[in-house]
Amino acid sequence: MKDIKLQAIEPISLTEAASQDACTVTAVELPGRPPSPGRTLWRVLRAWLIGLFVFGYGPLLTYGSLAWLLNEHQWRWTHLMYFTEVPLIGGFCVLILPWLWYRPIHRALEAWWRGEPVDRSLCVRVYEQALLLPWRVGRAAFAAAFIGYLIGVSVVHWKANQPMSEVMKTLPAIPLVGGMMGAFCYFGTIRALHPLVAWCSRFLRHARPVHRVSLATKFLTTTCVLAVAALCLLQPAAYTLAQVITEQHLTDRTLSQLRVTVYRTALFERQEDRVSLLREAIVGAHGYVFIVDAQGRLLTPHPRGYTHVSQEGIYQLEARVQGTEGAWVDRVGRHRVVAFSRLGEDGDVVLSMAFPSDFAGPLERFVQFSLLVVIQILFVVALFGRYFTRGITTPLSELTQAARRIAERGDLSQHVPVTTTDELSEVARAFNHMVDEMRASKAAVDRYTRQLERSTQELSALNQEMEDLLRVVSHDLRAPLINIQGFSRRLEPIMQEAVGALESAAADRPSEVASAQLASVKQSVHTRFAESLRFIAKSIEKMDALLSSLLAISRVGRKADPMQMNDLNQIVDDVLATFEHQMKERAIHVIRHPLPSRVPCRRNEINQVISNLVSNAITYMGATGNRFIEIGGKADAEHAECYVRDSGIGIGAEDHERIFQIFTRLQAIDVEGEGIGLAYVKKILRSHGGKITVTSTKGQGSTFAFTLPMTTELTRG
Amino acid sequence: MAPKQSIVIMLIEDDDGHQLLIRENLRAGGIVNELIEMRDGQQALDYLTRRGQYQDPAKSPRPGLILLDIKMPKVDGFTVLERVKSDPTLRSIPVLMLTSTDDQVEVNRCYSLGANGYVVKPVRYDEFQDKVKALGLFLDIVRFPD
Repeated sequence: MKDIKLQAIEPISLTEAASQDACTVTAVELPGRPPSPGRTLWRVLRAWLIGLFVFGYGPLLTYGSLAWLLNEHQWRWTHLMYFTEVPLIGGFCVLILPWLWYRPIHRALEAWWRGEPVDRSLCVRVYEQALLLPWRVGRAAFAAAFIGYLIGVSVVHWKANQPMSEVMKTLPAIPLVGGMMGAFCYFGTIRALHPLVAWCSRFLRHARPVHRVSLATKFLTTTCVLAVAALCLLQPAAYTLAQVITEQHLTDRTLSQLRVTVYRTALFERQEDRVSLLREAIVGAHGYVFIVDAQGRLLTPHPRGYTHVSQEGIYQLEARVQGTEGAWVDRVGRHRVVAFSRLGEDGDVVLSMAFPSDFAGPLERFVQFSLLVVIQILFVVALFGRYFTRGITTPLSELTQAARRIAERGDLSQHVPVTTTDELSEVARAFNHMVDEMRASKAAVDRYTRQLERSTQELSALNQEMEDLLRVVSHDLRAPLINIQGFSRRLEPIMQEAVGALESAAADRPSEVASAQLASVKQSVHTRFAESLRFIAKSIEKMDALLSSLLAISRVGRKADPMQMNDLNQIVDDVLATFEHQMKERAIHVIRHPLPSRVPCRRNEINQVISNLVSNAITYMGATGNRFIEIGGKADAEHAECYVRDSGIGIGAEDHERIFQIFTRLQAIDVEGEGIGLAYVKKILRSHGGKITVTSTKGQGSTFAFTLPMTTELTRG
Repeated sequence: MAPKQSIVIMLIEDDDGHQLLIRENLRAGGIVNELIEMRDGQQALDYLTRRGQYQDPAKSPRPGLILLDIKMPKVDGFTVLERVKSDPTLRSIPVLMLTSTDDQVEVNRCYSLGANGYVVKPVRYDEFQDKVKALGLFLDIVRFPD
């Protein structure tokens, strides 16, 4: 009786399977790679630098440059403020402090980017820092403007003798410059940190990113920022320009008035008349006129009660007072226009002081007007911004909804209406076109899929039919074969008995004729009958082998044979052991090379493959010459390869395809075989995911090489 | 218990030729036990559960061994095996499966259903006789518990 080994198939316990699954899942699932630390740093720095230079430094630089240009290129203390203090204070508040705040975020990002595990509590801290940073940077930027302004004002007040009332007029610079810089730093940092914040919020399983700014808000903010920026940039320029115009106007007026007065003064002798006449030359509410002689003594009363001009004043007068008359603008101390005219030949000079601040009414109205315009712009934007943006947002939200319906429900009947004639209508048209194309291609894909499914079903049904046929044929044909065998073997003793009976009958009644007939019957039983039985037996054996082969083919790749790691060298050892005697008999020697030692395969089937190849090599070995079989192979990460080379009769190129078909035997010569071997080999290799190739020339031997994939999953348990 | 109380062997086989050959070979192997021959699974099950014409225990004795073919019309060998092995009164009867191929899947299925052994119906005459003889020896020596 055949020895049977029970193969217990143990069910895998659920807990074990669950624990195996749990092992393969990584500790914490990351929402994609975290944002790159370098890129995030660059975005943040960019925002801060733009905030500092465009919104902080920019207006001050513009104003400073304009002042310098319009001030006849004179160097003033105020320029010191414009050019030195902003980089120092701004750099500290808007770059160095924020960098200190940002550093922990940067370090965490670098660690995550390197692939270190993300700690939840650290992520929470980073998230909070990232949310807090914009506000801190904005505040610092405002503080920078404030501190810078205070220092600037002090410098101007103490060093340039500018009265406090004049200084206070520049107070709006704080909200303008500081607010602009702060606001830009705030929004810029939010924008720069958005990828990080979004990543953190995904990691921490927030429902949606914290910051979601609608298009309308963006439009509103942009317009407001632009309006305020325009005000900040244009106002100082306009202010300065207006001042220059005022100065020019004042200079002309003061000088002409002074000229007329001096001309008339010459007609009077008495000092009192002259003085009273000089009052007519006064321009503006705070303007005054006085006469000074060559030694710097005041000949007429000064509003502040001076009697002498200071030494510094005399130098200035000497430098300025050239010719008979002239005028200049003095910004040292209180901003004023000075006009002079000589009185006769004795060196007395009439000086007329006019103050532009007396004529600042229109300028102030201009400033108020520009502020009003900006406020109006903001008001209009706030009021109608939604209405203006609706033209953009409505088609966009329609598009979004349609796209979402397609993505979520696969509803390809979506079309968005084309209502406008702008670029958005192009987008809508393109979208509709895309949907149409998608619908067409989806229909085509569906059609092909259905066709494919149908043909796959047909194919697998055919395949199944084929396998069933093979099994039924091999299985059921065996039943009558057993009978033929059994009963044909039964015939022999029956015939012997019949012959025996005839012999004993002949012995009872001996006669010439009977003994001659008996002899011929005995002869035919011994020769023809035995021969027939022998042929029957041989045919039955052959048919049995054929059916066994067919059955083997129909069984390839079944689960009963486990996929395991096998050493091809061992399999070849086993195979060669069975052919050892045969090969020795035919004087065939074997050349062996090392083979891959760990290949996932079904051992019995690969044994069959090598066995078939070696058997073929022996069967079709040529009659003469060097008779050898060479077996070797190699392996890489993907495939293991093994070849069996022989010095046999070879196969013509025209037959290379055909030999793998079932029931093909190329040889007319008398060799044993069913013509199934290579079809069986091919089927086994296909079921392994491998393949077999042949290289051969007629009369020059053949090489059969097969590959097996190294990545096949092993049977568990 | 009488020393030579012979057991009855039940042969369930649909092929006439096979039945004849098995019977002859059993006899040739020196096994002379009474042989009950069944043509299909349904008939065998009727006999074993004493239904219809098999109600009389005297006329239809309980078999001590069942030789069971797998491929049969009406009820196949697997079903018969399953019913026999799931019936508490019949479970103790040893069942030898007769298969025409040594298909591992079939063999495994037989064992998982509780078969006590299997014999591949051989094409070679002498092999079959050897097996049947071995089986006769086996039956002589081993006494199955009731």
